[in-house]
Amino acid sequence: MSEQLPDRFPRGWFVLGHQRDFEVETTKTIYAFNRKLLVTRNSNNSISLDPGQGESWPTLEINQMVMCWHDVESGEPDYQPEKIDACYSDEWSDYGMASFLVKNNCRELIDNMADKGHFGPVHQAPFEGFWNEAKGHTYTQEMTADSPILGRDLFSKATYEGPAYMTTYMSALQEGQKVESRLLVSHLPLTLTSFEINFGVMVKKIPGMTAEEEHEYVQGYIDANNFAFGQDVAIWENKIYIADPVVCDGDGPLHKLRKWYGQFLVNRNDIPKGLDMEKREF
Amino acid sequence: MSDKLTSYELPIQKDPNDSHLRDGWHRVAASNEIKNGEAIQVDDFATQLVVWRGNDGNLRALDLYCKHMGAALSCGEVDGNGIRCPFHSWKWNDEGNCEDIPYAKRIPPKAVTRSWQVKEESDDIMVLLKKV
Repeated sequence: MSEQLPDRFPRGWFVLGHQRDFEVETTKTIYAFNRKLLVTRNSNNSISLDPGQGESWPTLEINQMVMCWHDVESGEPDYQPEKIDACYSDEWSDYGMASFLVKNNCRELIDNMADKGHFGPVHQAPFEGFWNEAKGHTYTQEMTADSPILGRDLFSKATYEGPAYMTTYMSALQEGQKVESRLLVSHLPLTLTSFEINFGVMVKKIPGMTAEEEHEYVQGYIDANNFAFGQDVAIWENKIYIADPVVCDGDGPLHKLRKWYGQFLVNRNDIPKGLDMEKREF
Repeated sequence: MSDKLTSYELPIQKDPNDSHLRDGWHRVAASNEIKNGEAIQVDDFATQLVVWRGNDGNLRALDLYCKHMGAALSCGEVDGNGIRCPFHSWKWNDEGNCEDIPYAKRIPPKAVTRSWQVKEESDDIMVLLKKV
């Protein structure tokens, strides 16, 4: 990838918002992909999307999200995000959502998957183990840590399915209690130099918690994660893109990750071979 | 009216050789704008700079954006007489060499950035431009 901005928005599934925010017989206007999207929840509960310019884009409702398929070649979707049982379980809260705008190209967000070195300085969260794996349209990061901020015995597994939909499973011990949570990190590009992060948190309910306590608990998690994102955003908004960074022995597989991401920025016939990477510790 | 959304201009590290400024010393700030242990971002020179004052009171200047992953060094912290990047804590010295990476065993030999000569003259901070 060069220092130049990409010539397009990536191909893949993009989250338009949480299902509950699309009410029956209502049309929402969403600005994304340098255009205006009109999203309607029909009386039969289906979703239709008018992306303008006489085009028609596939939509999908899965894991509590309304998603659209973006592809400059107008091809059919070639993957689908996996169903997450917790999104349909009474044992888990619903996703609490937050969103914010970042003034940079959306590729900046992806680097975090392999960016082992930034957790300490940016998030004050040193970790113990760090693994990456690339497989087809998915990229996975696993991490273990033992931190006074994030919790003891922390384990997290984050997977991108395509360029813009990332889900994380996280477990940790807080005051001796096992806490399980799921994060959603999705984004919608507005222009080639701005994107909106739509971010979600759900927690596994702790038996005996009242609805009010649960709400407070989820909100606490959202606030903590918003704070962590704020730390990233401060960096993202005043940085340049280094296409070929000088990396050190402690950095993760940044070059590999960017090549994997590059598959969504070229026509399908131009996707290079050899983008997969077996699970490896870094 | 266009349907297109407004695009932001992203930061760049300008090529100083393309600048309309002439070779020689250029004022970039007043002396009292940088106290010991502080760093500033300079945008009105031939390229973007970070200028900082080390604990010894001397001024130093480098290209603003870190050669590793591109963050603005002015948002980092002065450490001794060097400056640490806010993104990955790489520590740069006044010669443009990376001196320390807290999470690496070895410093890559290519971890070098462009340094600039700085002087203070009657309460002005000046940087020397020498195009190549």
